[in-house]
Amino acid sequence: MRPTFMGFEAAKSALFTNQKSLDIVGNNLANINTAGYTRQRVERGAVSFSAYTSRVSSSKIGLAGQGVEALGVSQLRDAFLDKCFRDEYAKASYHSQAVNILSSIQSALTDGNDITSESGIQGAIEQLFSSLNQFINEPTLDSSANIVMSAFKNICQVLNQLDEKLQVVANQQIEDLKASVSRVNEITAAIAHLNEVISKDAALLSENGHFKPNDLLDERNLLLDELAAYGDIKVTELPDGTINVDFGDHRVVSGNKADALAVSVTDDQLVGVYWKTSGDNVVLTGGSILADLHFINGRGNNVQNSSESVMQGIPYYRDRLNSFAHALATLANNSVPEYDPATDAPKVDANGKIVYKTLLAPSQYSGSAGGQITAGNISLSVEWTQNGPGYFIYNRNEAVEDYAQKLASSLVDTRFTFQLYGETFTGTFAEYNVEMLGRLGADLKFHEGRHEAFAAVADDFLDRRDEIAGVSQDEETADMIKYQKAYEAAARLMTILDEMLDVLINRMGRVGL
Amino acid sequence: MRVVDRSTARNFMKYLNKARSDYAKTNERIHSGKRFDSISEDVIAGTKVLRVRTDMCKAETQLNNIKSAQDELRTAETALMAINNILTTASAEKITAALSEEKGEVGRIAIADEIRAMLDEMLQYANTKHSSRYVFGGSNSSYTAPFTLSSEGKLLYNGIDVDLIQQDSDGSYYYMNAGVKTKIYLDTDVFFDIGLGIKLKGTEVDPNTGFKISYSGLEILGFGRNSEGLSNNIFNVLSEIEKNIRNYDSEKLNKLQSHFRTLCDAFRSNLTNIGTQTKLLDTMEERLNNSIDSYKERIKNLMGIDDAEEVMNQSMNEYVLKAILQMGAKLLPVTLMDFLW
Repeated sequence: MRPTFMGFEAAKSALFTNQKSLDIVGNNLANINTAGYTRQRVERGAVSFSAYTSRVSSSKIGLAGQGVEALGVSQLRDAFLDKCFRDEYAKASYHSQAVNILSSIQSALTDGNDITSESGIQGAIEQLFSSLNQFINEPTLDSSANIVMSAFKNICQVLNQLDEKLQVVANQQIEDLKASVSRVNEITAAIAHLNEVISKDAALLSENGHFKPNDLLDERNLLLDELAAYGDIKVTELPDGTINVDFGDHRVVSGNKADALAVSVTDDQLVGVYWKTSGDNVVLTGGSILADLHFINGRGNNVQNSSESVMQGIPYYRDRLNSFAHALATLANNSVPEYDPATDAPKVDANGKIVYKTLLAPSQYSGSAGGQITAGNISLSVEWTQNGPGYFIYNRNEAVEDYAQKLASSLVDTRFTFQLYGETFTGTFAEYNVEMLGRLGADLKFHEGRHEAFAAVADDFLDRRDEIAGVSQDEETADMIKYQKAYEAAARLMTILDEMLDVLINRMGRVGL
Repeated sequence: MRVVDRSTARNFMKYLNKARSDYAKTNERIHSGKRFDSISEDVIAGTKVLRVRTDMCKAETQLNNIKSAQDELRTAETALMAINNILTTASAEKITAALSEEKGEVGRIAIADEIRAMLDEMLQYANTKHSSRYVFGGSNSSYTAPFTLSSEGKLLYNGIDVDLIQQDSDGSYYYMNAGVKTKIYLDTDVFFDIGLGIKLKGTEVDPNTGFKISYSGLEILGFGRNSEGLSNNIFNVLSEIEKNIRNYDSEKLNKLQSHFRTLCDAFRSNLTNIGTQTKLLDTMEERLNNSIDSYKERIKNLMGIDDAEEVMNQSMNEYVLKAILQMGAKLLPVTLMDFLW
C-alpha cells in the first residue's frame, strides 16, 4: 500500500536536489578563476526506505521510490597528483633560488655580467700590464711610475668593490631568507588553525564527518602548495580531517599545533635555520630554503667547518677574490728590490735575502692593518702613498726594468700558484679570473637547465591536477542544462501528481462532474 | 583528457610569455650586435672571449713597445751616422793629409785642431739622450753623461778608463779594481717585450726573448787594448792620432792610421746592425697588426651576431607572437555558453 501523498516527497526532493546542484554549478562557475579552487558537486543518493518492518505489515513496493537525497557537497581532487606536484615544485624551487643567488653573484662580478667590460678584473689586469710596459720604456721617471701606481690603485679598488658587492648580495639573500622563513611560519600557523576549524566543521557538516568544508580544504591545499616551494614536505591525512605536515625530516604541523623556524646569522654572513622547539638545524632535500642555505653558506672545496656547505656559493667566490688579492700582494711585494747605493745592487738582509719594497698592504682604514690581505682591504701600502709614485722606481740613475718585466709577465704569461684552503690553482692571473668566471657560468647554466626541466614536469603535474580538479565551463554549462531539465521534470511530476490527487479528492465518488 | 579553462589560460600565458621573451631577446641582439653579454649564456664562448682579450691586450702593448723602440732606433741611427761621417772624414782626408810632407808644421797643427773639434763633436753624439736615457750609455739614466774625459784627455765610460775594460765570456763588461773584478756601473741591458715570448732567466730577462733597446757605449766605440798595446777605443785612438800629428811621429802615425781604419770598419757594422734591428721591428709590427686583426675577428665571431640570421629570427618570432595572440583571441572566450543562447 502506497501513502497518498508520497509522490510529492519524491518530486520535492528532486526539486530541492536539482536546485542545490544548480547552486553548486553556479559556485563552480563563479570560482572558475579562483586560485586553488577544486570543482565541487552535490553527492546524491537514492533515498532508502526504512527496513523496520516488524511492527507494521511490510509492503516493500508501497514504500519504494522516495526520491533523491543530497548527501553533501564533495570536491574532486587527487591527493597523489598533489604530492607529485609538490615534490617537483620543491625541486624546481631549489634550482630557481640557486639561479637567483648565482645570477646575483654573476652580476656582482662585473666581468661575469658583461665579458667585454673594462671595469672588471680583466680590464684591471689589462691596464696594469699596459702601464708596466709603459714604465719599462722609461723606468726612471716619476711620470711613468705614476701610471703604474694608478693601475695598481685601480686593481685594488676593483677588488674592494667586487668584495663589497658580494657582501651586499649576501646581505640581500639573508634578508630574503628571513622573509621566506617568516612566510613559512605564517603558513604553518595558518595550516594548524585550518586543521582545527576543518575538524570541528567536518563533524557538523555531516553525520560521519565524511563531507568537509571544501573551501577550507582548498585554502589549506593552497597553503601546502606554497609551503612546498620552501622545502620538501610530506602530508599525512588523518580521519578527523586534520593533516600532519613534515617539513624536511621534522613534523611541523600536527593537529592544531605548529612549530616555527628561526634564522641565525654569524658575523661572517653564514646562516643557520633551526627549529624553535628543539634547536635542531632544519634538514631539507629540496626547496628554496635549502638553496639559500647551500649558496649563502657555500664554500666549495674550501669548507672549514660543518656550518658551511660544499656548494660554490657566496663565501667561495669571496675566497677566490681573497686568494687573488693575496697572490697579487705577494707578487707585488716581492718585485721591486730596495736599492743599496753602497753596493750598487739590491739591498740584502742579515740572511742574504733581497729586501723588497712593500707595494700593497691592508688598508689602514680597514681595521686589519698588519693582518691578512683580502680583496676587501687590499690597497696601496703606506710606504708607497707617503713616498709618492717614485717609490716604484728601483734606481733613478739606471734604467733597470727586469722587475717590471717579471711583474708584467706574471699577470699574463707566467704560472703562479694560487692557494686557497682546499683548492690550488696554477696559472696566470688572467687565467685565474677566467677560470673563476667559467666555473660560475657553468654552475649557473646547470641550475638554469635543471630548473627548466623540473618546472616543466611540475607544470605537467599542474595540468594533470587541473584535469581532475579544475572547472570546465563547457561541462558546467552542460550540467546546468541537465539539472534544469531535471528540475523541470520534477516540477512536471508535481503537476501530474496534483492532477491525479485532484481526481481522487474532488471527483472520486461524484457522478457527473 | 579533460580540458579545463584554468589550465588552458595558464598554458596560453606560458606560451605567450615565451614568445614575448624570445622576441625581446632577438630585438636586444640586433640592437647591441652581441649574441650574449653574461658568461652564463654561453660559457665556452665567453671564456674564449676573455682569453682572446688577454692575448689582444698583450699584442697591442707589444705593438706600442715596437713603436717606442723604432723611435729610439731612429735617434741612435742619426747619432751613429753623424759619428760615422766624422770618422770617414778623419780617416779619408785629415789623417792622410797630415801624413803627407806638403802640409808643414802650420798645416799639421791646423789639422790637429780640426781633429780636436771632431773629437768634441763625436763626444757630444756619443752622449745623445733619448728621453731620460743615454742611447749609448747602457742603462745610464742619471744626470752624468756616460762618456767623459779624464784629466789626460782619455775617454772614461761611466767613470772608468775604457782601455782598462775587458769583456767576460758571458758578454758582460768588467775591470780590475785593485785586483777585484768589478762590473761597469750603469751598464746593464734594457729589454722590451715585442712579442718574442719574453722570459726571465733568474731575475734578468733572457736576451733571446726580448728586444735589446740599449747600447753599451763600449760596443759602439770599443774598449780595452789590442795585442800591441794600442787602445781599441776609436775615440782614444783618434785622440792619440791628434797628439802624434802635433809632435809629428810619422812611424807611430802610420801604425795608428791602419789601426784606426780597422776600428772604423768595425764601427760601420753598428749601422748594419741597426738596419737589421729596424727590419726585425718592421716584421714584428706587421705580424702583431695581423694578430690584432685576427683577435678582433675572433671576438666578433664568438660574440657577434649574424645580421641576416638574426633579422630572420626576429621576423619569425614576431610572426609566432602574433599567431599566439590571435589564437588566444579565438581560444579563450569560446565555450558552450556562447552557442546555447
